[in-house]
Amino acid sequence: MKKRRVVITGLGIIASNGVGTQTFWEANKQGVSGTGSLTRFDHRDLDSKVASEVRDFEPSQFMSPDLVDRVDRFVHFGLACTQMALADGKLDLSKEDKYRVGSVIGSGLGGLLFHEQQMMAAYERDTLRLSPACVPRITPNAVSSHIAIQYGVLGPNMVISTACASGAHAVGEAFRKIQSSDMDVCISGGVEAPLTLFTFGAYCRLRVVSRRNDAPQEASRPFDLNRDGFVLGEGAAVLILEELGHAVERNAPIYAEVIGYASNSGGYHIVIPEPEGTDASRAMGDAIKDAGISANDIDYINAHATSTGVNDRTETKAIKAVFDKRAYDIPVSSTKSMIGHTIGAAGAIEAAVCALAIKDQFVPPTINYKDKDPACDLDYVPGVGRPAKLNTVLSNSFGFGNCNACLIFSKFKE
Amino acid sequence: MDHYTQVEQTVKEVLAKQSKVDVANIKADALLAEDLRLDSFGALETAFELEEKFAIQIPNEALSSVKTVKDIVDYIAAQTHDKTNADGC
Repeated sequence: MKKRRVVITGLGIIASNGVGTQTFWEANKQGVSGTGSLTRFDHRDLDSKVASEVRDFEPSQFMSPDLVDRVDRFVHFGLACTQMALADGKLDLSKEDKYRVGSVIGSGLGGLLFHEQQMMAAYERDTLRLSPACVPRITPNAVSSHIAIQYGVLGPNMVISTACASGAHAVGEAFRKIQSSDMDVCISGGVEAPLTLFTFGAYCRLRVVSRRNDAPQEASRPFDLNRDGFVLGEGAAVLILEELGHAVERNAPIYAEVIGYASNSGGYHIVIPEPEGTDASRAMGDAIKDAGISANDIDYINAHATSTGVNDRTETKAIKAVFDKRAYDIPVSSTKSMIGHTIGAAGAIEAAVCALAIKDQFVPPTINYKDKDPACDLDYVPGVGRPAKLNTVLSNSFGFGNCNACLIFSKFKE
Repeated sequence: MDHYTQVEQTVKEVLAKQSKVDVANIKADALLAEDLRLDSFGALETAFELEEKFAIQIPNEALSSVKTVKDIVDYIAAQTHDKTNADGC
């Protein structure tokens, strides 16, 4: 049976270098960093003082003050991006069959801020008399559920939590569910608000975050010889995925088509990628196969590219394994160089970047790439983005615990 | 203001915030579920806030037996009439 086709018809994005799709995209095209010194909190034990904080976001512009008070920041992001994406896609859900619309969102961490506030207060006051709102505020599925409640959509409602690949898995699984006719429209994406004291401290203890405190805007430098870890960031993206016939019937704007998806595991370590990158290359190869294309068709790779020593080296090795000599001719760039690592949001934001890159026929740069690492020798689009003919692009997401997801998007052709 | 009136005022303020009904329109005989549209989770949040404000504990049995605004005020006034250190009363 012929698979149903799935297109992207709306985008809503919040990141440290831009709130709103166009603001974000212009910043990405121009290589604007959203990273700076950590201002949200401080503690003497934090050895990293660098973060990609979202500064120009006022949740009450997107929801009632009462709802602002009742949900955590990651849900603010999800609801705001949903509103933006629906407006962008000119999709009026009141006219839709709500049984055929779902919300599938990625979040690696859930409602951490409230969790930490309650935990600290409990210890300070020596009491377990916690707020009844703890469970509904902390639970990761608060985001997909609040979206479903807000818009009354009655199709699949779930949160996928696969660390740094959550957003990519959410878009991929939404794609599959539309392909297989479980729904016609999906509010899909990824959200994360990890800038809380305990969580930031926890990532510091893993020694995976940059300590370039004296030059924060240069801290996220994927593939560069002197990279010293990723920058923790907050943000979100929602993509409206829609069955092609449904989108055409309502004359929807189409950014790009989702044509391939694969997910797998390295079965290796809870925080270390499999050193040869065989799982990563297998995921890329399987996504290419799923799309029914060949590796020669890929015009651009939006890499996972975290700015850690191991990830960037391993991902480069995996790309070479899939594309052989052609790997050197494909532009590969890192969104995280500009907005840090937004954990569960990253894969969705990067999927949105791919859609925008296709629509605009423009490859955004990897910023802060200055000195060549002999183990990372591809074309990383250093510093300055460039116009390019983009028919088919690949987005890589490789999460802690070897949760891998690859997505392929193409220019929409009837 | 006597103790009972103080409790009543605080209870009405908490209920007003929870139910989005103006405090002036919350009558003593208002039914929590029917008139103020307080669902079971809203009742839990209200109880939590009142527990914090009056430094008391409202057991499940008491929570399930109150039906009106006055029932809550009566219960809290009885629990707090001899307390001097509670906030709001």
